[in-house]
Amino acid sequence: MAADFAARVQRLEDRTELRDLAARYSQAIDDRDFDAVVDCFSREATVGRAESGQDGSGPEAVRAFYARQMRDMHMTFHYPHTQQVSFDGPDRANGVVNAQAEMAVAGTLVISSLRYLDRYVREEGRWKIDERRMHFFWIMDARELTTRALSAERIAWPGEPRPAELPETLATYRAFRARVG
Amino acid sequence: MTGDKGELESRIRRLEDRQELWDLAARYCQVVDDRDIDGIVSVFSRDPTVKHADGSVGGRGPDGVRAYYEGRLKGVGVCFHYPHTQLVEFDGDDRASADVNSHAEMAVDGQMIVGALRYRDEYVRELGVWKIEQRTMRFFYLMPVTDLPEKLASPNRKRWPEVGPVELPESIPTYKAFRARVG
Repeated sequence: MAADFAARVQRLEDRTELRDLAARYSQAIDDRDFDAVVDCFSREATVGRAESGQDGSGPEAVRAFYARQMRDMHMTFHYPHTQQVSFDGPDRANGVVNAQAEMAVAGTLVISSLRYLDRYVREEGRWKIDERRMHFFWIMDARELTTRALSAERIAWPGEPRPAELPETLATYRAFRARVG
Repeated sequence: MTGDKGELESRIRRLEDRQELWDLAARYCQVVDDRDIDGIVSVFSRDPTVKHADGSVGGRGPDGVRAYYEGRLKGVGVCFHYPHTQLVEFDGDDRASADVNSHAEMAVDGQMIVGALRYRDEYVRELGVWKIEQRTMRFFYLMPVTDLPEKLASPNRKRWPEVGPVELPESIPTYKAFRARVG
């Protein structure tokens, strides 16, 4: 009973720490605090957009990825809404984080709704992001939202508009659309 | 085994504290939106300070806090405040500080004003209940929603009630260092 009780307390602490990890990530990005960004990730971490290949792994690859992403951006504001966690043993977990971001870039407001598909690992007693993949509902100039949100090509920044991953790639979404037309 | 029990109890207490501090951030938003001025005063400690970003005092003490919010909310219609994240650091058992990142929407002067902001908070446990001891507001932007697409890339992202610069992220050392490096 005592061991079980301790494990339940530990699980609650883990959830709190993982929620903090999602929050710390957002604030570190917005503050351009790249040391704090790297500190959110594991030693072998990979990160990237769903549509991109791997950009390498580890702290320097993570640092370079975000420095590249942030080069042309001015103010950004990232905010996580929900984090669903499933544990895979005491020191590994998977997460789904639904979030939004506002970014001042090229003289306009780019907004996005996205889902981070995360894997977490506990390293030296602290939870870290081992893998983070960004799947977008949309990312576009805010002025286009009322029109372009109706199209499939909702990854509209940067570059040529192309199809968004979410929700079109989800099996449940496709099945529902197939059924109702 | 008593040691284990004591250690577990303090860990549970810490989890309860986190829950209560998150409730505190949520309750603040709701009492502001509800114009529950007594409720606003009740989320603050016996000796609270509300500060502007430049460090100047907006209100001190329960009466000062009351006057500050009465004045600030006088011209505001419907408003909706919602916190996103709260990054807490404890300083002993009964003190803590946090950054709270939030959005706010307000109907004022015939338009919809939207803001993104970060509260820097100091908390204290008084008579067993966590309270806000000090709250400083720093903005990413505060402007009519119709201005957002055109004005968000400007440094003058406070566009209500008058136009001026904001604190975030330009005042953050890591942000300044990055912009200096990449131009």
